[in-house]
Amino acid sequence: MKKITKHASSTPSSKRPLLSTCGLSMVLLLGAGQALADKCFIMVHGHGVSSSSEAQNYWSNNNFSEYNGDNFMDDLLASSDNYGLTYYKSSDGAGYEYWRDEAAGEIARQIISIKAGNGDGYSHAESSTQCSASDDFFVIAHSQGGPEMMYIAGNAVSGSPSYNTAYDSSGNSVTVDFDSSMDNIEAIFSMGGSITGTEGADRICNGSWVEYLVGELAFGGCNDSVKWQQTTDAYTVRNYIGSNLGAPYWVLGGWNEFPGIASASSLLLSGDDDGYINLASQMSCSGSATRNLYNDLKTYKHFLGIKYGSATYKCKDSNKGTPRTYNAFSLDEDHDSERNGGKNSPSNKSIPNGLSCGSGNMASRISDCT
Amino acid sequence: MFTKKTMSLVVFSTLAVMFSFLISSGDSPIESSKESSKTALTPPSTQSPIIINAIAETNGLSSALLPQQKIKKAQKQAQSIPRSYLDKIKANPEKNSFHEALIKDRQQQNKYPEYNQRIATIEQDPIERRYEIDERTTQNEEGDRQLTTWTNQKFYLHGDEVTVFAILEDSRGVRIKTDFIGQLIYDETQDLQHFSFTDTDQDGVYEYQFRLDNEAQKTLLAGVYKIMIINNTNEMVDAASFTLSQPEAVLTGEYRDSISSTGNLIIEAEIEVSKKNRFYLQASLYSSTNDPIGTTQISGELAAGRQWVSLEFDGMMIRDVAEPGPYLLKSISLAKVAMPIQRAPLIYPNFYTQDYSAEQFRSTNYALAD
Repeated sequence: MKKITKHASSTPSSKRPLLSTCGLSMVLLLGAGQALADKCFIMVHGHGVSSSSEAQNYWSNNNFSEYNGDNFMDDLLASSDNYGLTYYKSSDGAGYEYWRDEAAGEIARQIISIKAGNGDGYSHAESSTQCSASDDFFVIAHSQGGPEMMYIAGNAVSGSPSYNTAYDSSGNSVTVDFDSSMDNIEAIFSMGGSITGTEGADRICNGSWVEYLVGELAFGGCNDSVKWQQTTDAYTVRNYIGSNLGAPYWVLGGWNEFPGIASASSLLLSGDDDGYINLASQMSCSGSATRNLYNDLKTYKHFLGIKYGSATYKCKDSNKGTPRTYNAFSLDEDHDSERNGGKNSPSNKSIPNGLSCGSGNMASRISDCT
Repeated sequence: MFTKKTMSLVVFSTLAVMFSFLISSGDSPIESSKESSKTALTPPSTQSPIIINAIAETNGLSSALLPQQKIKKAQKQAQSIPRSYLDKIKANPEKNSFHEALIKDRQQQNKYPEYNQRIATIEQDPIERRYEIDERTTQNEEGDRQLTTWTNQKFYLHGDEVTVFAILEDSRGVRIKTDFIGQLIYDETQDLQHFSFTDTDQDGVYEYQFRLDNEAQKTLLAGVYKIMIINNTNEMVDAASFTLSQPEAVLTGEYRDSISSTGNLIIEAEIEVSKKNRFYLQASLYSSTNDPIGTTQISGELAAGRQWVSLEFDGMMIRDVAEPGPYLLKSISLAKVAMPIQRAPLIYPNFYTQDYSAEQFRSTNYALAD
């Protein structure tokens, strides 16, 4: 796993000097017309963000002291890599459903702006990491960012139900150029995405969540945003997209419980989960999000909690509940470490149709594979 | 990771310097450099001379050695040098699993129009999957009881009868005799009805049936309904949800088919719209021997009145199945696009097209044809 000094406290010139020299040689040799494009990672945060500063800190913030000092960007950015942060209000206070103009619409507009080379408007702790228009673009989404990107990509294709359309608070359509936002996006990576909702939202909205335990960490009640993260198909994003996506969508799932007492949250979710989101939802499997899926993305018969026999279901690429969706990794990460790179070397389960490139946590695997 | 990438770039830089030396030496730069580029940069062999000429021109290193005609040709060719991310990974002899998967995805995407998707097997028919029963299972905190619930459909119309099912099992999967009470809720807020489940045939599957809009109920609004299912004995609660749709459009059952000037199959469906709105139609095409071919989708605003809607199936997609017509329009999903989306129950038109031979359809990839 990479740990190159990319913390906010690091010196501004945090890009590797040797690599910069090599890069300069390359550019001189190849000429401007032949310069290789850099990678630009466009970041889409998850639930619970109410300000731009929270959006920026999302990728280094944590809910557990075990992850103090960790930063997703440390593991993601290799030499010459860039990134762009997006921000939409995903707080319980705002309560925006994933299909709202203030959510999906806002993200899509910011993606278009970042791709145009306008920067993301933030001062990066890592020097010279603003994206340019000539970069190769990837989107990385976490948690609620997963369904947000699924909605955008799934309505960026002509003929889709809400093609280029988001909605306002009254349900009136608002035109958003989802199609352009997905142009030249090489891939979307969803980490711990609540693609088919989370049983946690079910329990809150059904009034049976053990709120004192993890409620404050997760959601602030059954507001409109949480309501639309329930696992029933009446709300899940797969029911609001068409039969194709505007960009290929790779899923990375976590199946480790939270540290300490918060580990109890996993007891309340069926099958494996990352503390908040059922693994079946993170991996966009067909069928119910509450499917009792193990970390190898298979469902088995079980006796007294012990699985036996052959798998009765495999969440491989052909068993996805959403189109153009592919397995990437199933890692021993929790919902917090997924977004802050808190685990250096989480174990990796071999999964059907999974990727074999890269090593380390979600951030470093995305870096390595791309 | 850091080390690996650093070393790669150091090697690259070193070779690039050698490259530069060969160019400026004036000794047959094109041929010499071509050999270098094969081993160092490893681009496709056909691109090497183009790269060298372009470099010479851009850097002004040895343009004097090149005939003007050759420079112009090089400039022209340089513009056509593939520089996209996809081109780069295609040219990379050391592709990783992500690269391979991305190339495969793009090949599939370029084959048919984005609104057409091939159905590999009947089990993967996305329209059938969308309507699959949403069977949900949740466990109690001790993990020794599991509650499974579902409704007989996910989408209903006014007047339809809803059947709700509930099963309680122990950890061995043995059904337990118990009591369930239910609560019908509209839009998460309006408490409409309380009832008890019964198991008249003593099979451990508890049921409750009710008709939407029966005499005892007020006119129900379109939207999402939740049935809370409570087992007080084991302190377990889960909910099954469904959508009461009011699509404000119906298919009349009239269809007609033809081949377009571009070699695609067009099936027109007549629709009667009662109120102007945005609508979404998704349809599947099968061979007469029930082999799945593919899906199409279309969305847009329709005015009130009777009209025809065109469902277009790509010619290449039909040819790929290598079966002659007639073809079966197997299913159509019709929805009024709203939040929540209001799908009509799945329609099976049982419409067969005229006889066609597969050769009547387009034989080129969509991307190439356009």
